Amino acid sequence: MSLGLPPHLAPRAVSRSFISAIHVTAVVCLVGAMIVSLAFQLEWPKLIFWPAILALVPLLVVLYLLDRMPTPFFSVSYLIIGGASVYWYSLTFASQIELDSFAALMTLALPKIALMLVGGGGIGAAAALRWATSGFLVAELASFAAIVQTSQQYALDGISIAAYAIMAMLLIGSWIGQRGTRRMQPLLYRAAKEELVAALRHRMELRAAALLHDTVLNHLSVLAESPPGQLSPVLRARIERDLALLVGEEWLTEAPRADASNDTEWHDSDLYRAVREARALGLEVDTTGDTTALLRLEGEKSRELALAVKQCLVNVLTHSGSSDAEVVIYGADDEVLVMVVDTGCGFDADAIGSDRLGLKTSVHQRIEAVGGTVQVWSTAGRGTSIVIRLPVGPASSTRPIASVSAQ
Amino acid sequence: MTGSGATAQRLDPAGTLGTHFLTIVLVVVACLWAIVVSALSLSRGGDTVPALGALGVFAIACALVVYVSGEGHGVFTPGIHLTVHGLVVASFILASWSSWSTDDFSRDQWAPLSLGIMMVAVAHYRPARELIAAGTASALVMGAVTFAHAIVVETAAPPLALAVVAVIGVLALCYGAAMYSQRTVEALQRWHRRADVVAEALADEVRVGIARSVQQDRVTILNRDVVPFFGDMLARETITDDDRDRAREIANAIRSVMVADADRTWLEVVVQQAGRPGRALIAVDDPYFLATTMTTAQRTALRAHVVALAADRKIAEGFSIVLSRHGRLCVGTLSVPILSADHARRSRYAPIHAVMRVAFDSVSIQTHPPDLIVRFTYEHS
Repeated sequence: MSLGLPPHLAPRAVSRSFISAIHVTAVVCLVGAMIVSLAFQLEWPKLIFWPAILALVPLLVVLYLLDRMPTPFFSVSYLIIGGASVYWYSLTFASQIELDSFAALMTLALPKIALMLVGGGGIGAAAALRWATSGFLVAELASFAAIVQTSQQYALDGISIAAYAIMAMLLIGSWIGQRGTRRMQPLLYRAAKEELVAALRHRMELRAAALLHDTVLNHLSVLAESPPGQLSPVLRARIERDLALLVGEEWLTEAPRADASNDTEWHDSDLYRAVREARALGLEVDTTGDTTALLRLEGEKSRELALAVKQCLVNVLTHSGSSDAEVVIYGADDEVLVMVVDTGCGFDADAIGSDRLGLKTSVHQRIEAVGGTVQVWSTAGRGTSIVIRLPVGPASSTRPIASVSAQ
Repeated sequence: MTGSGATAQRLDPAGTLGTHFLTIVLVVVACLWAIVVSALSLSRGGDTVPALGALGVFAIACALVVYVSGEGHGVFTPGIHLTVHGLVVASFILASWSSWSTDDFSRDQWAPLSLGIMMVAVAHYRPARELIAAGTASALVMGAVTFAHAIVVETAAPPLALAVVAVIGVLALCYGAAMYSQRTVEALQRWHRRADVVAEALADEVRVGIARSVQQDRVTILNRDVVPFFGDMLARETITDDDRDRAREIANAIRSVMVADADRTWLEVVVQQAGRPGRALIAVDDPYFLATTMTTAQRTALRAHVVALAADRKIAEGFSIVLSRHGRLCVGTLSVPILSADHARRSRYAPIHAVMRVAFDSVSIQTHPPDLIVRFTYEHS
């Protein structure tokens, strides 16, 4: 989400950006002035321009220090040393050539502009403007002293004045701009927060719907289709267990975030590795629930579960249009339930082409081969929940729960 | 957007909108500088036509910057940025042409500084890398033309010095603008990372409460019908025809509740929560559930707009949101009736519209009194 800086951070951030920017500009001006001095020296070897290059070296050094440590001490040092440098630089040029051309005036203006771009300590437009004004005055005084000393006529430097005016406008304009546009920021922050909560709630509702669908609705459907007579013991056990879970326990209230638990067993698990690989592919995966339940799955089941979950996560990344998914782990007495939830575009399970074997082969068949079941609950445009159930204990040809219930 | 391609406009569109005033001021300064220097030069001779042509081309570049950075336009693209550079370089060449046969070297020197000022003006809109590349390329062209011109004219000052002076105006302001862009983007990205951490903490904080609330809703449904039914049947341990009918009936009831939940999009929830007591609900027409296909950024921007409009006392009843589908393209239309002739409303919502422009593929704002119409499009995910 595109959110701007909050009012308490914005002035400091803008000031820092501004100071860095003007220091870079100052460096370019100083280097430019050195190259121009060198060009003059090369053009007229008999004249003396090289002291102008040397004059700018201390200024560059202090500028570097000032950029690293923008304290009043280095700011004042920059002004003092800069004043001396500008004097030396101006004296060199004023003593060698007539200062009547645009090129000469521009050449003289470069270090003066650099001195004005002191930045200095303090936050806000007023502080920056005070330092800029100080730099401007020191530079102009130093240049004036040098030019007068060489008996040339001093004239106010229009280029430096223009640069100062532009800088003042930048500072004042930034300040006005900041004031005007922050009024809608609180509303945007609130919307972002509400969106986060709404997304969380939506995901919970999806999980709740998937669980209800997988348990209560499934049992009701089986009952509606069952012949009159004795209640199947398997169905009875399932109903009792699911009722106890849904009504008696907090089945949506999660254990602490799995990643935050710093549980070494969890980090060593096959499922964690699958999640990590999906994250490496660019998917945001939130893992929650009872990770210790995974310890009760023996090797083959643990590996197959991880591969199936990995396939589910790849499907989220490839087909859902969503960049995040949730893996929830539940542990019951006799089984482990892992749910992969996304809030992507969802799909119609009946409309999936025969060429899409990922869900069928890599998830359904893989899990059923180790005695588990897979249920997919998806609505186009609403997201998908895939519920994988694996019985605890060694792998066997246990029939899927749905098949048992349907008998 | 991350990395070196990020811009302040994309990361903070509402804040960047506030710098539009500054952009206008800087462009005006660049224009005035060009006009004044050209006028001074022309008063001393030279070809008027190319000089005026240079000013004309530069004016087009200025107008382009002002228009595309305004609240009525979307994102400032690289194409626009490069076009601006092309126009300014062209104006520089025309200005040089106008004084090619004279030795008055000051006349063609307005373009480097004007381009530099323009680059400062667009610092919020383009990434540092692009500002440096385009600025350096333009500066090199200007330096080369100046160097050639100085040799032809045989100026007193060294041609290299003149070329450097021409280049330095662009480079100093260009690199400064690039640094400002980079630092601003870094500050915004740092803030976004912090905001993400806070959001994660908030999610952890509210997760339990939401889970309990959602679970309680379901448990209430279960306790009403399912639990007594299952309890009775488990006690009897037999299934009768009545049990089968009752099971079907309860299943249908639960399924209808779940379908109703699924059919209510987040937008309808927002509209319901944002409505003011005693006023008609905001109408949402979304037959294809297109609201569910928006990204988080799109939802957040639209949510902010709906909430702001719903709370605005200058907005009359009859506010509606329509989402329609054209192939993969989704089109949303907010029709907002505004009380009185207060069309300053449009400016009031400009920061949110700026955020929407970044979030959606396109956004257009039109005023058809008394309605404010906001149209936005996005691709079906």
